[in-house]
Amino acid sequence: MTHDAEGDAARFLGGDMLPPEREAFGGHLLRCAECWAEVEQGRRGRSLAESTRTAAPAALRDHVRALVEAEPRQPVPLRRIPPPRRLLLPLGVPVAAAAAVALILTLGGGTTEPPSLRQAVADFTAQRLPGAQLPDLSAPDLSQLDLQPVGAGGGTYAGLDVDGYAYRDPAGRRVVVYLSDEPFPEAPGAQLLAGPDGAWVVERGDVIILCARVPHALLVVGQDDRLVRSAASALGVL
Amino acid sequence: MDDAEFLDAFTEHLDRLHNLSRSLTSCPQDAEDLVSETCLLALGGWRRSPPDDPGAWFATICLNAARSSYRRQSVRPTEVPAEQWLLDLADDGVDTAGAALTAVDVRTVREAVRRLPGPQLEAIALMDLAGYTAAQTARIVGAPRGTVLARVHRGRKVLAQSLAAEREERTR
Repeated sequence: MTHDAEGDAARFLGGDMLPPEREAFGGHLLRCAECWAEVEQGRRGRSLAESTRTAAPAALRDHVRALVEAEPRQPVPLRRIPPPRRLLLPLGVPVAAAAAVALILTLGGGTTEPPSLRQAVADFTAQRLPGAQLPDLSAPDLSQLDLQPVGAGGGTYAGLDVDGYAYRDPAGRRVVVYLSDEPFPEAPGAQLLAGPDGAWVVERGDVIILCARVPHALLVVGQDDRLVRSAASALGVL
Repeated sequence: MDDAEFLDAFTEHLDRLHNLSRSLTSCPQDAEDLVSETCLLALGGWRRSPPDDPGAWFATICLNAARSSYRRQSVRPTEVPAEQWLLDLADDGVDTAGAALTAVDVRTVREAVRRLPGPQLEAIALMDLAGYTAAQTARIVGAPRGTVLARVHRGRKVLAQSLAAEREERTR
């Protein structure tokens, strides 16, 4: 009988077998020294790991309570553009119109992209990475989406230290994940996504940018909206 | 959202988060810092919209904060290929089947857990130390359930074998 002792033991101990399979494997264990040893070592390792469990110190509970009580609520930033003031109209229509246009261009018109985002999109399009530095972390695992890492490099985008991880799937679709210790600026016209992390998404031409700040500052950039969202979800930010 | 509800939820999971943080950091002080960081990050998110599964959500934040911390400090869990480690132990002729490990103290076990390769360390920290289910762990680390079970099993084996080897070394 050929069998995968390690895989079977992992599934047996993990409760991943249906009752008939579990019963059959239980019988098999009595006859197979290899599987018996696998299960025995798994149980022993689990027992050892569990032996290190401890209760959180009382001081930590007090500290957490104090942290929450001391943390001020952040005011919700106002992003709406104020309407032009009517009083200016009789005397200064051209001036008011020019000011309104400038305000729209500055705050919400979509043309004043933060340089770091502009650079991320440009590099994605040109198939470049942020730099040649070796990132501190290995590439996040996106293998469940069939995305394989094809390159990684660290550099700076407008003063922001960024590590870029490039992936491709078997169909040749590309996704780049940019990680930083600092949050990325919000793109003009970004659509806030539902969920606790305040993530947003925006389109720039045929490029999709999805950004999250909590719990991890990252951008996911690609051309396939579903793939970008799936990658973000796999990274735990959606 | 009500901060009191957040505090109730967070303190309910504090033991789990403490154990998770202890296994992801090298000393109790760093672990408490990680719990504090997790608390503040989670509080901000909770005020926008509370999650469906607070326990798993707190663990995700904790894990990501720990990974960010490794990145900031350029310190990561040692990435020793587990298979090679097992081979080395096997070559030493260590028989773990009947080894009694009761004498191995908690600190030694913690150190052995910390030496595990990153994915195995995270899987064991979440399942065996923090008590999350395989399904929750799979969601937290973003890997399929089968992958998580394989990682945790390999980690447990390495743990059992390395500690048995260590104990044998002590008794020589």
